[in-house]
Amino acid sequence: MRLIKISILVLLTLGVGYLIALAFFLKGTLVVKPSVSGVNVLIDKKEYKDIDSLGIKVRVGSHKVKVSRDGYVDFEETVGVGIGEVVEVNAALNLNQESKDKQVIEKLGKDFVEAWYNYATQTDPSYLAKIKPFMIDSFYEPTEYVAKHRPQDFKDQPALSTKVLSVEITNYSQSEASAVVERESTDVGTGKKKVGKVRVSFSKVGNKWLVRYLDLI
Amino acid sequence: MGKLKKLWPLGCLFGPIILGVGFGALLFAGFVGMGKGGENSFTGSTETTDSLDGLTLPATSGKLGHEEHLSLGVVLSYPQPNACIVAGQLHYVGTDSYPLGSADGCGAFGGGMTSDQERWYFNMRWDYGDRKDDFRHKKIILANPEKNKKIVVSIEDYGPGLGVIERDGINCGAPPEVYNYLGTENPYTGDPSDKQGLVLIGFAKDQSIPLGPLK
Repeated sequence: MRLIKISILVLLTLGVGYLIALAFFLKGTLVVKPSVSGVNVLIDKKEYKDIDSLGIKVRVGSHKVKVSRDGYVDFEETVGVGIGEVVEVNAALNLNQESKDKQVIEKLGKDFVEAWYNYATQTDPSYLAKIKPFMIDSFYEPTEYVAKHRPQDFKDQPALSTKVLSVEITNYSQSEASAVVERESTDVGTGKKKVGKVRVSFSKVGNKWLVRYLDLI
Repeated sequence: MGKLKKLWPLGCLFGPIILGVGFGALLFAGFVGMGKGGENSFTGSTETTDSLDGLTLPATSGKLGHEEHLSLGVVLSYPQPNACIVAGQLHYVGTDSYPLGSADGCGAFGGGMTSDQERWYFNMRWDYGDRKDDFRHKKIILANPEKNKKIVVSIEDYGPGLGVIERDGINCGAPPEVYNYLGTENPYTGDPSDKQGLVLIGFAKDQSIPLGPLK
């Protein structure tokens, strides 16, 4: 009887030890597929940098996965991996508010400068109507004033056609931003081209980014 | 006595003309006197600053454009506050002044200037934001570094148009009394990169400084 008890105890010990050994030595596979490239992946405490996708052997059990990249909201998930199991983590990274704003500002800067510098004359009412939607009221109002009351400033002004070459955001906060916009303008009459830069300042009015000011640099 | 009787009809005929000419001459002399504008002897600070109470300058130097005078106009509260009606040649008149042209108005702030503010007015493309009224009547000190001359001017208008900036690089303007006193060169060069007509621009730190030329 005593021998049986000892045998059971040994078997139990061996069984538990075996299970512990299985858990320690046997592994599964964890595959991380981020929605954008160049991410940093942190699995438990081990970090993998500048990753496009990742497949690694991990011990069975639960693992904490964190995927991050500048300009995006961190993705975090805890997953369980079984023996020999392949677990895929599809990490969908979403732009953070700053990145979303910057995308809007870049497009607004490009569209505004192309609208501002494409004209037959800057005193024409249709030109003013075209640029108005881009601008805050307190920038549109003096612009309209100048176009209406200072036609001498636009005398002999050639018609321009313009395309934007680059937009570089130089300053950003949640409510204000500025960008340097490089443009190439063509004198419609002579075909002469000129490359120049302007600084465009933006303000967030409600949920909408608008142009606050423009000056030549 | 007989001679006096004979001169009476002549007096009736030429008297009013002589009086009219005399009165006109007095008026003209008065305007000329205003036009000369002596240098003030302000003893307080004449220092300048790039920003004043959170207001910033679009630039701290630039080519000074040649502006015409603004109309002092008639300021109404209807149909909107500060509605200004240009009323004839109602503006500062001096030896350097020109009649108002067809393009002139009461300025971007809708008038409401004193004769002195109009006489020594200044414009740039102010970044109003939501503080347009705060720019109005603020005093600026302009300096011509070549001739070491300074003058205190008042913000009364917005401009110039980008057409002038693109063509000549002119980013500010003032009427004849200002640019003639400073002795700045003609800025209308067709070259936006040259420095003809250059002035240095700064808010007067002491806004109680009187307008006009500084010693």
